[in-house]
Amino acid sequence: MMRRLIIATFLLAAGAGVAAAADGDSHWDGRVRLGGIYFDETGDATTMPETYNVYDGFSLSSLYLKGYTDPRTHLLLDLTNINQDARRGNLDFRRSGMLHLTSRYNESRWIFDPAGTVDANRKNWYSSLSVTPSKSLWFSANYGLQMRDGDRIGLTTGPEGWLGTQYDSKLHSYRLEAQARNSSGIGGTVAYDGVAQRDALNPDRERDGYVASANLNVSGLMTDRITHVVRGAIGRNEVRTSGLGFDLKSVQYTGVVRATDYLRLKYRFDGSHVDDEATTIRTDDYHHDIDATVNYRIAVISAGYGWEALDDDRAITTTNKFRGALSLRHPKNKVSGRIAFDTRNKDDKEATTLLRDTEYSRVDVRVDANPTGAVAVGARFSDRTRDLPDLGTTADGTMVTAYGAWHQLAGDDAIAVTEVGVDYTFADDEYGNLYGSEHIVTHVVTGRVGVTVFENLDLTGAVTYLSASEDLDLDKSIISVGAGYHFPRGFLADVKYNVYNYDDYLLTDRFYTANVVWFNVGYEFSTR
Amino acid sequence: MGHTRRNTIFALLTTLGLAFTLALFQSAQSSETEPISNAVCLDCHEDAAHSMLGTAHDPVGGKVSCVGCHAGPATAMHVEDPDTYKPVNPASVPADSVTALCTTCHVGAHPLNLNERDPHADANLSCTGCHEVHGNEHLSLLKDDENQLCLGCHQSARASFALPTHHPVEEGVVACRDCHISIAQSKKQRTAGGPSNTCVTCHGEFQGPFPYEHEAAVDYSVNEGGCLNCHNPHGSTFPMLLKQSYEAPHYSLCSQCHSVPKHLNNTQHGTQWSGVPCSDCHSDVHGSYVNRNLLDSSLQTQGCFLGGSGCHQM
Repeated sequence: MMRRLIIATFLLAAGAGVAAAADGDSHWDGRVRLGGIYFDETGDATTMPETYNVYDGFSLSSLYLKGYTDPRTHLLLDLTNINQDARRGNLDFRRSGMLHLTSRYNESRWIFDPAGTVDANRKNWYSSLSVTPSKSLWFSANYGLQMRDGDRIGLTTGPEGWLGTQYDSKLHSYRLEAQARNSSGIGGTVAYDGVAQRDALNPDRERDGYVASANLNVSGLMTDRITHVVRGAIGRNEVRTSGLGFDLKSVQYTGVVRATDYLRLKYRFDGSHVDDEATTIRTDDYHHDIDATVNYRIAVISAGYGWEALDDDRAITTTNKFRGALSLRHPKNKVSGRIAFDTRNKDDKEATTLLRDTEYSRVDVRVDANPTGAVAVGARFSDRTRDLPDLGTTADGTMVTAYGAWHQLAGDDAIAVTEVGVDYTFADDEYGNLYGSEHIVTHVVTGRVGVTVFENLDLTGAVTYLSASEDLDLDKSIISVGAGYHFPRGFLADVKYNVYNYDDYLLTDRFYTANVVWFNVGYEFSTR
Repeated sequence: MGHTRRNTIFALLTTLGLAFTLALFQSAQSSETEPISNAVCLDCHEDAAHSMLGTAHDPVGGKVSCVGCHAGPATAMHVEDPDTYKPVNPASVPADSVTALCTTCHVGAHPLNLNERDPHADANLSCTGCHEVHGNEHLSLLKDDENQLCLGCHQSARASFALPTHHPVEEGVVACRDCHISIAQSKKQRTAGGPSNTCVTCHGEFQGPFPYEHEAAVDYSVNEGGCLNCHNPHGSTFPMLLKQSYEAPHYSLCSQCHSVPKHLNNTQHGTQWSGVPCSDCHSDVHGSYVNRNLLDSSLQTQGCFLGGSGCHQM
């Protein structure tokens, strides 16, 4: 704890020092918020992922510093939720036209038992450096490290299998990439990705892998109406202890033809091969897709057809895909609408696969209106089905979403409502198979409002309500209110109060209530 | 892996060499013509310089020229007669033209997706749907905070993230791009590191290969496998992001594919087996190291298998 406080103090001092040293060429914006969290909960902690990473006690809620020492050298430091058990941060440094360094860190946990005592922690580091030696060349190197440790409990009380009851693993990943391009629309990328999973508890879970990939984008070759995109990749992934692995090969081609000012044609081929030494299955997968789009005045009409063949030496399946869409929009984009359908039918002629024939379909309708710059309203409808006729299995889902939002564009009223937004989603999902059926209906409402009083006081409110019924019977709600006040000379204070509630009326011991208060004081500055 | 790796590196170096030669050759050619310098533009559009400071498109310190984006036959005339001749404004041209323009420089996998079959491209959206070049202080020139930008259009996803189990997107732990851009690799998942690569980017323990795979978990399977067969990635009303319930009596998550009457009406073990969770025996549902039926290794010591005193094949 002391170490973290020292780090935080050091960062604060560094920020203040930078600001103090600001001269005519440099410019800095900064903010720091220090405070605490009061957290009180009762019930089954697993039911509310929103509070998994909320901790009681002191918190450096925010440390933000952004600016430049000269117009070409820029720095962003953004640390949030630094407390006893959690921390999150971003660092971004750019020397314009030369290099870009970014690094981020994120720590989180997942809870497995009602008391919140069985949990697993995940720590993610990611860093990336890119350099631009000339307009034509760009190089980058990335490295990611994910560390996970802690305990877990399986979904049921049966044997836990190889997943076990503990985590202690590290996932290293890295990527080297080079891009080259010229000024006439020809460019390409080559990349090498590596991954290494290390596990202190079970060496069987350790594996190494790589993918080498390249792509080439060609437009303006002979005619500026045709663009070609070619991609290829090969890779291997293998278990360290046994050397057992699978090899991957893939090639993709897309050709886009802007035949006229209104008509665009697109053809895509996608072929891949997977050679799995474990199952001794070699799978070839070939896709051909062709699409046409007409974009004329207020309308966009598109239609497409796709064909796929999948062959794994034991069975061959073919799939036919049809799709189409019509979009209409007001000349000034005040109203727009779209209706689209998509069907996919897989044919298993030899009837050798488990699932046999499969039929998918999907219809989407959406309408959006933006009558003024400040108001946005709209609605979505979606219906999707999946049938496995040979197995007697069906899945049918309908979803309706409506939203409305209002943002104040400008104004200097004493009491100004700055934002109001409401989203509502209804979902009706039915599943059936030879043994029975399942029917779940959910309603989700989210709303938010922001008010500014005399320019110094910001008030916010938000609500999320969920209800699931039919074969489930549960309610969940999150209510949030907050206030922030800007004092003279850059000082500020804010407080936020959230109430979380969850009730499962079928499983009587699954309930949860939490009260959380965040309070901070802070300081913000700008050398503008 | 050695031989394959050497071939790979050779192929990559060859491709890289050809591309770089081409790029440098073209650069040498293009330097013969003198484009309008940024300084000419900034004489009038000084605000543009301030609004892009610190970004990759910085017209003062960077390597990007204004006319690289604001091209077109009217650009040169615009310098002489700004009121009559207007250069191209990428924000107001058709979506596929914007994509073509941006991909003259941005040739990574993510921007190239818009040239392919992509839901955003299909909906007539281009780079400028999410990114704003001028006057933008968000990282990657996004128009808003990353997750909120996505959820602004994908309201149904916002509803999914309110469900009892969900990926912690609203909590700021996971970003939309962590899955949907797949770390800037090829859009086609299997090219970028293995089946269901998007998921195993974080959940590496499930990547395999396993000596005994569950076909539902590998996306090259003829049975159309992949993580999404059993899990709803955004959110679910069921535990562990499961797509359907995993509850007695019929465990519809499993029985959607496994219509195996002898299991659910099993009398061989007596009535106590009716409604027993599938995973009580088939514990390794993501793939097994020991058994082709994904059975738990402890069953071996209980004498369930032929060769012991049991009835089942290994």
